[in-house]
Amino acid sequence: MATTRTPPSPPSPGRPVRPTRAARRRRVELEVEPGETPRRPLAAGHVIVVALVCLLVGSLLNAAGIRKTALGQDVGTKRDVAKFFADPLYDISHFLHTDRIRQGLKNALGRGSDDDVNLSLPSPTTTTLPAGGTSTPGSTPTTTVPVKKRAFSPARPMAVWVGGDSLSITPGESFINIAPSTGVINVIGPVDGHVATGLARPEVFNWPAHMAEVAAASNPDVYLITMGSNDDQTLTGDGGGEPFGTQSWQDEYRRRVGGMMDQMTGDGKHVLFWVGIPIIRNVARSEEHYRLMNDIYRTEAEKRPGKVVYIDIYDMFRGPDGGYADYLGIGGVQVRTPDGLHFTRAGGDMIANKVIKAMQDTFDLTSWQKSLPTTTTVAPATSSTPSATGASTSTTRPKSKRSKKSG
Amino acid sequence: MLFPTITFAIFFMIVLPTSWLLMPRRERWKIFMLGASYFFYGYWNPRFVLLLAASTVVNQFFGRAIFRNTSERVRRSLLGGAVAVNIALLGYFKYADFFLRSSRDILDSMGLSVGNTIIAVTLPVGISFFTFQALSYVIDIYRGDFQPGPLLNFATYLSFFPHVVAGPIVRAREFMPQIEERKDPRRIDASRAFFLIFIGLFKKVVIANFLATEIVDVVFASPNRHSSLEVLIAIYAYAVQIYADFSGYTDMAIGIALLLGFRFPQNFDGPYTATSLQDFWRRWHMTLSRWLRDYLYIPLGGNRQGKWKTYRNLMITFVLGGLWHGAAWTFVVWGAIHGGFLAVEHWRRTRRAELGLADPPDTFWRRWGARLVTFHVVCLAWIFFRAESFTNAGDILARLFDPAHWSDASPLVKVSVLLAIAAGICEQFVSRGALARLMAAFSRLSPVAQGVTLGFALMLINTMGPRGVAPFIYFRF
Repeated sequence: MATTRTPPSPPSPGRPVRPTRAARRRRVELEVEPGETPRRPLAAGHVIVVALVCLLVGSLLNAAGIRKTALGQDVGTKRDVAKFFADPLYDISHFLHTDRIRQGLKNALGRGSDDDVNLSLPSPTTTTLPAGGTSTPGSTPTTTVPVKKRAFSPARPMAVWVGGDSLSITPGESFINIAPSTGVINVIGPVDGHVATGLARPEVFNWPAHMAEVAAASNPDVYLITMGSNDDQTLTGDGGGEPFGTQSWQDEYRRRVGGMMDQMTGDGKHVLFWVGIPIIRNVARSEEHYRLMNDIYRTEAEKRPGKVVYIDIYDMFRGPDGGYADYLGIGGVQVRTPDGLHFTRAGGDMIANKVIKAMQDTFDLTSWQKSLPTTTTVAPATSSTPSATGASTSTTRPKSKRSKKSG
Repeated sequence: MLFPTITFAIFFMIVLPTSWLLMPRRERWKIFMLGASYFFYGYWNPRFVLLLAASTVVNQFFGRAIFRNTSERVRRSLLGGAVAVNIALLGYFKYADFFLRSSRDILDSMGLSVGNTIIAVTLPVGISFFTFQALSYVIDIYRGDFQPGPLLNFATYLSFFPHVVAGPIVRAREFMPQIEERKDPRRIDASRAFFLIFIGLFKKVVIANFLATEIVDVVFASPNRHSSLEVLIAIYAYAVQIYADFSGYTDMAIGIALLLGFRFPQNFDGPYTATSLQDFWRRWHMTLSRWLRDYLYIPLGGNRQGKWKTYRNLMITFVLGGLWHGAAWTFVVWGAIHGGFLAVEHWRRTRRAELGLADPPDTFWRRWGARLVTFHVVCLAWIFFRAESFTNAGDILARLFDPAHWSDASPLVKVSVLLAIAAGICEQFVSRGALARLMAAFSRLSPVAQGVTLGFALMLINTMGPRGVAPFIYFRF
């Protein structure tokens, strides 16, 4: 921008002084640090215009993401209000094609399905309790184990997928750390954990659809899933609408749990280990909600012997007084995080050890050792973890020859 | 309430115009801003608003009492009382379980079992920040650097929502005079504010969250499952993640305050361009390092009492600085590494001076060599900062230096991860002039054009970032 270089002439008497262009600009522009290019200020009203235009344009361009966020709110007034604005915004954005830019970018990033809303959930194909099936609450595992166990070895390791809601993450990481010591468990990828998800809200995250993608991509022998702590709420999606706890809610939730179990294990080639919900600091919620839901997981697992193993961890985290405990064992090892819900590493290790024990009960994970020329299980590694009864126990881990990869 | 959420956008779109409308009527503005800030803070847990209010009243009482009294002995006692109350507050909420657990471990190792003595206190968000700010207020009054203001002013300062949960640590003497000064609603430095907000959003939502989910969390959870290269890249990624996360938050806080007409001090200045640890602490969390220098290091004697006491003071300052970040021994080690290397640097400088040696010439290679050494010392300390335990940190280090795993496959070392790390580091080398020219060009656009430009930026950030918003790392402190 050109500036006036001529020196200002003296003002004539009686006429107002007109400032030079440079002086006007200096008055308009903000004072900046030496060496910086001067900036123009904005008036408060203009700042609000900028913010409103930004939010309007940003909302139209991000309408698909906003709709998904609105749908993900807790069922109630807040969600209704969010949907009231988000749905027409999405329709307008779709009509104007402004949603295409975001979708194109998502596709380019390989996350084209991020904004999809899939409300359909599979129904179970198994509906009756098999003859001889047990239904004792709390037993682990509760299904009838086949007489001849399927064997795995270092040459043919057991491929395990680990995932679920936020409660799956720390125990899943512990499992990933501990499982290689068996010599036969090969965990596929990191924990596939999705915070604040479950089967109650398929518009937030559709687990059956996700598991279909997992099966197609990695085809594991075993799925280890932890899910449910977010599901004590009104169900949405196909068949939803009932508030938590009613008989219709239980029937629909049972359908969803059974449907997902059948989808994952229906071909008879895969086994699903379903970890139940633990007691949490909010004991009323635990007793009134989580016990009911654990019962659904357990009975649905019992309908699918040899395919689904339910692992009950509810009582593992009771203190000596029988209630919820942050710290267990004589040494007072912290097993729960300060939120009174999630697990510390020690708590995660407790669950991982219990899962490995359940896997050893279900599969033959050790006979390969007998064919080896030398004994490899002579020095069991121990992991000191607190027991639910308050005493510290040592969990034996078979030490085995490990391939370089399993380290 | 987190900055990068729709809830905050709605909150701010109400607060921004109301704040400017009420600005001419200062008392009403203060009441409104105090209410808005308490709402912001209480949105997370309403009970802790009472804690913030109690801290305000108690510190105002001590501040006023110190100011009124002329007897040095009484003033000193009052200052001691204020420090004790603030440390007790912080100690109870942040360190009670840590000290109980540590004491019990020591007794257990001596064969004296004391059973479970844990009290499981919920940590109020931002307590470390507002306690330090309150302490600076009282200490500045004691030193005669500042006069106490009305309770309403102090409450507005302490709870001001842009800085209440994660800083920057703004001192009362920097902020409270701004409450009373006349602000021109026609001259807001909006281009700088919007740039700070959007750069902060990008750093947090895209870079920090991406690196956390793609490599850092996975490798730190199970280091023994990953190659040495993956471990090395995860350490670099964490260095960038924590910078992008924390500086992103403070960029947003500074930008939001600027839109409301308030200036906050700078908190980061390209920390990974530092050529020494001392230089690093002039560039990293600058408001904390200033606080530690003025209220801890210098009162301890600073570097004026001989070299050994200087080393001691450095170690005390940084070990306590480490503990300020979190109640765990890993944070103590983090602080000790910084304190130790700062002491080494100080010794080296002193030794050169004693030998009469001139400073080495500042060549390109020497500067970059110093940068690399400094960056790697900082990364070494970050391992302990990020690790959940010493075992975890030991596993990371053992894996890093295990030659058997350097040739392992490294699927987590993707081009996108390396690009994000490079972006997070290169951003710190961008000259101020280039950014200033960009801001100046932006400021010359019409308000509608500015809004459209920012709308597209919002879309880019929202699309590139992972779903959901992870909490800011420094919220825990």
